[in-house]
Amino acid sequence: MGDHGIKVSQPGFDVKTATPSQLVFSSKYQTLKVKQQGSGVITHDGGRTATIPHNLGYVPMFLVHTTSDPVYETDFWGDASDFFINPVSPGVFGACNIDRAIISWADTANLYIKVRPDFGWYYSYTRCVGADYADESDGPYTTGYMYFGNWWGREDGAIRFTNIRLNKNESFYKADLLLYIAVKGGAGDVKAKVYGINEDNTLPFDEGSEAFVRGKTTNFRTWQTGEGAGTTVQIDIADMVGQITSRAGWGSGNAMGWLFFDNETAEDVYIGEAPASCNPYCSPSSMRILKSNTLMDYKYTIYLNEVNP
Amino acid sequence: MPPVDYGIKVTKDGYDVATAGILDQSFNSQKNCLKIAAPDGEGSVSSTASGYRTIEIEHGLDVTPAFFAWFQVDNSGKWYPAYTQEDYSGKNGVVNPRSDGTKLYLQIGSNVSAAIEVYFVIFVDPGD
Repeated sequence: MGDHGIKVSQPGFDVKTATPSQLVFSSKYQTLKVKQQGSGVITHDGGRTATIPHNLGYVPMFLVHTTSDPVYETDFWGDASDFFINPVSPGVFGACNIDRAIISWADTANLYIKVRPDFGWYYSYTRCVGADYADESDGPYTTGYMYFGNWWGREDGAIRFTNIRLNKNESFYKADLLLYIAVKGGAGDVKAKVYGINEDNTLPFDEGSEAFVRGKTTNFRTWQTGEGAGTTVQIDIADMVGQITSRAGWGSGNAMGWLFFDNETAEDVYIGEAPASCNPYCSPSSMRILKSNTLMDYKYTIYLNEVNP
Repeated sequence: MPPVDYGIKVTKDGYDVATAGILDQSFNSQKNCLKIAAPDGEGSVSSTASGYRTIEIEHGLDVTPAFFAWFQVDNSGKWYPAYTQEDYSGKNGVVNPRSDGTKLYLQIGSNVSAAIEVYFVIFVDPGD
């Protein structure tokens, strides 16, 4: 080992006696050397991933900072413009299995920053009580479950979600209904016309008027599915959500209801759900709203230093 | 401490050392650089098991050092910064590093048996 080299001590320390941590620089110690830095945004339509080439041919050390999920704009999570060191994992755990994490990794070609699938989505659930589910089977009206399709004749269903976090006339990018199929009867597609209940804050289905006579949106979606029990199907409800949130009396935190009218489903083919075994914080069926295609901002530093050389 | 009027500055290409701001300097003897401990400040350790286990690495420094750590699972070639979980269940692995005045601790966890390799970097500089 040679006894030559360069040392520079911090102000106030004698370079001949300074400890390693009192040195600003010592040729004995490797330092982190920046290869490249940059910033960008990750979008939903862009696959929720940023791929940044580094052209090093080996895995470099790196550092990533990102903004967090706008759903968590609270004192605890800071402002939307705050940057967090990666990985960021808010709300990953729990019975809902909602995954809002941002992760990053590097291989020999690229640095990757990935936003997990639930990031940015505002979820709303039923209260897991019978009054948030309604059913009408050729006339008789009941609450406690929801079936639709054809079951000994026409079957219509309704479901209600609370605490929709969208202000009056607030713009949004996507809105989905995620319908859990607890029961499937028969074989083939269930066909339905899906409407929103066109009210400011629709009541539980055992209060006020019956669900199926409440005013419905002029916008609707013709939809069908052949999925079976135990699956969750997705329905685009953006047009109807936009119509409801443009109502004069709409406000963030209100409830929305959804009507599924049979649309000539084959005999004895139906799907349904009830609040049995329901978690009140995340019912099996939900609706979700993505307010912007732009999900988050990132900044990164790629070093020349190699991981595991 | 009175300001010093001596020292070393090195600027990035294209900047005048007499006028360049700190962000345009590659080196300034008034500003500390994170220095990787030598000769054992970098290295990799591996563990193949399920559940949580902790690997302890003595650093021999007189400070509680700053550190970095990245890890890969089953030799995937994808290196994640600690503390990442590949999915919400954590089934593929997670690494939670910490340090004190004597050691770097790498707590490794996985819900399944997986080969987790951790690459760590310990600095001679304190983490505060």
